[in-house]
Amino acid sequence: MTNLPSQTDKKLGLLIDLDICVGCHGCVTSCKEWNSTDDMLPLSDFDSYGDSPDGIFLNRVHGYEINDGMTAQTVHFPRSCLHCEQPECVSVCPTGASYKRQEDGIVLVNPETCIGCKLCSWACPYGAREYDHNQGIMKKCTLCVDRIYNEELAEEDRKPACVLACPTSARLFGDFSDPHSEVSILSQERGGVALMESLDYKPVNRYLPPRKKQLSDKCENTSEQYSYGSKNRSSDAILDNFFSWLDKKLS
Amino acid sequence: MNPAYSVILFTVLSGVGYGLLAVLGLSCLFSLNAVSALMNISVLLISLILITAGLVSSTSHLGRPERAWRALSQWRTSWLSREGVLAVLTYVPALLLVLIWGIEFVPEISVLWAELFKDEIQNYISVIGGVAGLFAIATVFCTGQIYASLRTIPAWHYSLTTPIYCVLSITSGLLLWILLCALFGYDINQIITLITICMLEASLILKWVYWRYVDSTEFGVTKADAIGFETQTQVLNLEPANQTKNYLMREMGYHVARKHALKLRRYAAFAGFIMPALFLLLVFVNPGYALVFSFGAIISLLFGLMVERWLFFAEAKHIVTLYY
Repeated sequence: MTNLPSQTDKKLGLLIDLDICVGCHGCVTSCKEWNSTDDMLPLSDFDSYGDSPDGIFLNRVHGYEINDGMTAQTVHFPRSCLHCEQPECVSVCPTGASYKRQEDGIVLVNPETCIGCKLCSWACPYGAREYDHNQGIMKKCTLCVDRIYNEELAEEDRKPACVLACPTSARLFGDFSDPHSEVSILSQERGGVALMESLDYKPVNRYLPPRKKQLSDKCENTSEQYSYGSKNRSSDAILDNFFSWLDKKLS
Repeated sequence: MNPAYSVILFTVLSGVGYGLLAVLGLSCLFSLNAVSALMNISVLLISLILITAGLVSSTSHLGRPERAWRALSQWRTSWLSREGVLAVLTYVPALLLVLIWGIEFVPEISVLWAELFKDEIQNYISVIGGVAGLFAIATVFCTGQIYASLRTIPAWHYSLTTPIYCVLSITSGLLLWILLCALFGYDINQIITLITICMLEASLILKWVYWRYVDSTEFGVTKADAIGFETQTQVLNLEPANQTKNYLMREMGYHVARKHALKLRRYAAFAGFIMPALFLLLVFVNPGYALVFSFGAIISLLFGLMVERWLFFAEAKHIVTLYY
């Protein structure tokens, strides 16, 4: 049913710490592995060993350079379904294959009823859904619904595969509707951000912004300590200019 | 957005078909269809063939066409589902009309039929035709709403998107109606010709306003907003998430045509709206050659509409491209 639940009992989601994510893509591969094995339909790959390999990923890590005018820094940005409270991907679905669970707020696609019209992927501003040409259906993050309630797993393993795989613990899993949960507290303390809030999809997942880099006096002193020493600087500069002139002439 | 040829073909062909059905419905409603049963049933069948061809073409872009029937279930929330439901519903009055007009070709039954219903038959045709026309336009309205309701694509999320779909559909239907009138040797109603010319020029103006809107529209969010930083922060791509193109980049990041957009808009405007209007003026002044001129008009219009529809997709930018 594509009618959205007016309220969900829980708001399960991920808290992603951009301050410590190192962009190792460990979450990407462990997600792909878990969601392609056992009872799951594989996340198809195409032309795996060819010139332009392509495949379905439910989680992708982008690398950006952020410049706020003062400092520039690298940010690794993992992107997956945010399990929005107002997911238009669900309400546009003509078959009811896309749905949001009332018990925990997870947004899922029923692979048995999806017709592969791709409209849900058009309706998502976050690029959370990818179309599987092999199976003719849409794929998306399930928040590892087959792990988190799986009683055959040890309790500490009942977390999404991406969370377990993260070597720096940049990904945390929990219930955002519970103000005392680890994710809620951390998000509160560190100013967790919802992406593109103005679009009003009300994402559940939060991102912790990287801590601001300080341009302190200490930094400037350090840079001076490591410079060649001020005396030789002008002669170095002349030499540098000479070599760069020579380089230009020769090349 | 990637212009899927099946969807372009569907929206243009079924748009013409639904437009023709709407014109037929209107003529039934106001009892203007004082033409032969042969022409009535031909117009009806041609519109149904166009509609069906469009619908079949649109299911070919589904990953699982055999499950297409499931799309009729979510009409409470989904415009795509509503479009499907109305498309199916439209067949009901349309096929009833096929039955009513078809009976006239079977002499034995038609006598019995005439005795049973006597003078009421025209009333039934008015009502059923009116309903068919209404459903036809409502289907096109839903098609427009599928696009207009997507907030992720500002070029489509616009008050004129749906009206343009409806106007283009009715205009192309009127033009095809004129061609069929000429084909069956009927005099072409000069008022209908004039109305069609006006509709063509109204389409041109609407599209011009739409294109101006597309040129001025922005996402309203920045690359920094997309990754949770302050709006004004400068964000540069450093390491792509994947080396080759993925589904999102192919489906949403289509930008092959953008540099040719201006030229293609001129083609669409000229072939779609200006040429057909000139052809119709020729029909107006020289009804003797109505068939030739209206045929030229419809061919030109179809070409123009294909280009227009292709641009509608190719020029639309999706918010997800901010990540790439």
